[in-house]
Amino acid sequence: MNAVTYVRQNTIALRPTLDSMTGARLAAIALATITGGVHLYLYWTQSFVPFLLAGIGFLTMAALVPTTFDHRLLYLGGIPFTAMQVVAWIQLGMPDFQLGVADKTVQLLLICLLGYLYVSERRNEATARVDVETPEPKGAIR
Amino acid sequence: MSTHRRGVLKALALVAVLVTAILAGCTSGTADEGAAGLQLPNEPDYKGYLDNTDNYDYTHDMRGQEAVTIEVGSKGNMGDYGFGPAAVAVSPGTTVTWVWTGSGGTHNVVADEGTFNSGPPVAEKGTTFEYTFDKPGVYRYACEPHEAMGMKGAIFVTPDQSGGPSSGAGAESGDSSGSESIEYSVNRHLELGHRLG
Repeated sequence: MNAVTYVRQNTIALRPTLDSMTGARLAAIALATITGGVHLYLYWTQSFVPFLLAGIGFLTMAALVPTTFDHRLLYLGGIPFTAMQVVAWIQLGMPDFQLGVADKTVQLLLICLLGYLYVSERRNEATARVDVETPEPKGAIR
Repeated sequence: MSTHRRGVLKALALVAVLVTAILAGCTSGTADEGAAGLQLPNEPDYKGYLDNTDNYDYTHDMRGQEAVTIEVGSKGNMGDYGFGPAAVAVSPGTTVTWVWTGSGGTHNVVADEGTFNSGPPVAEKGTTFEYTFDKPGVYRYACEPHEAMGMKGAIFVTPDQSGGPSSGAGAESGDSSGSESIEYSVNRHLELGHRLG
């Protein structure tokens, strides 16, 4: 697959699908929506632009799960993006402490879940590939 | 695989450029709140304390006023994380009242050297805290939750009415050891019980 095809598949050719919706994926959508909502609320009350970017990022992440988007990129990109939020909060002196602790708990759970999804879905893909590559020897003997 | 990876990298680079552009565009427009007060002829030396306070423009000269009001949660430091104005010059005996705007989350007003402290951070609009400055000096203070983000301020108390800070007049000491004489009170519009309940 060349780069143009790849970008096309993950942008204009993107379409919604519930084909491989699992409980873990639903949980990831829920966690990303919660922390995304928290960040949009914080932007609303505090006008801090990084909150807006984080809010849009998490909601986009949640919206991309039930689509044909490259989920490996979603998980691998989502982990550092989320981890960055935790680090930034600590570096900024842990403002909004109570809400912050709750939100960072959600984010740490999300990081674990994204890691789990990446590993488990890659394993499933590998299993599926082996099945396709070594089909039953149908019609070998005439 | 290599073209695939290159495509991903190109997309990531594009996103990085866009985010940088958005950030640059949004942070350049920090408003100048609290325009009251002219500039002093000589700016006091805050010893770098206000270096990362982006809404600190100059020390607003409010000498000769009995009461001075400073906003808590005015525009600044990429959000509503400013004291407005960040630095003011007042005469001895002036009562400074900090008024919460209700923006920027929870704030408090805590002196660097412990001279005054509004208590735990609160968010409620209309909350006030006041302190009367009797001793000349430089009083540096911050909002604890947003100190790292630059939400800091300074009160320059000077008896000098004509010029700026006089050199070597002990005005820079900020020494507050004799604080018994300093009247100090906290007024909150909300009852403590109401907030806790």
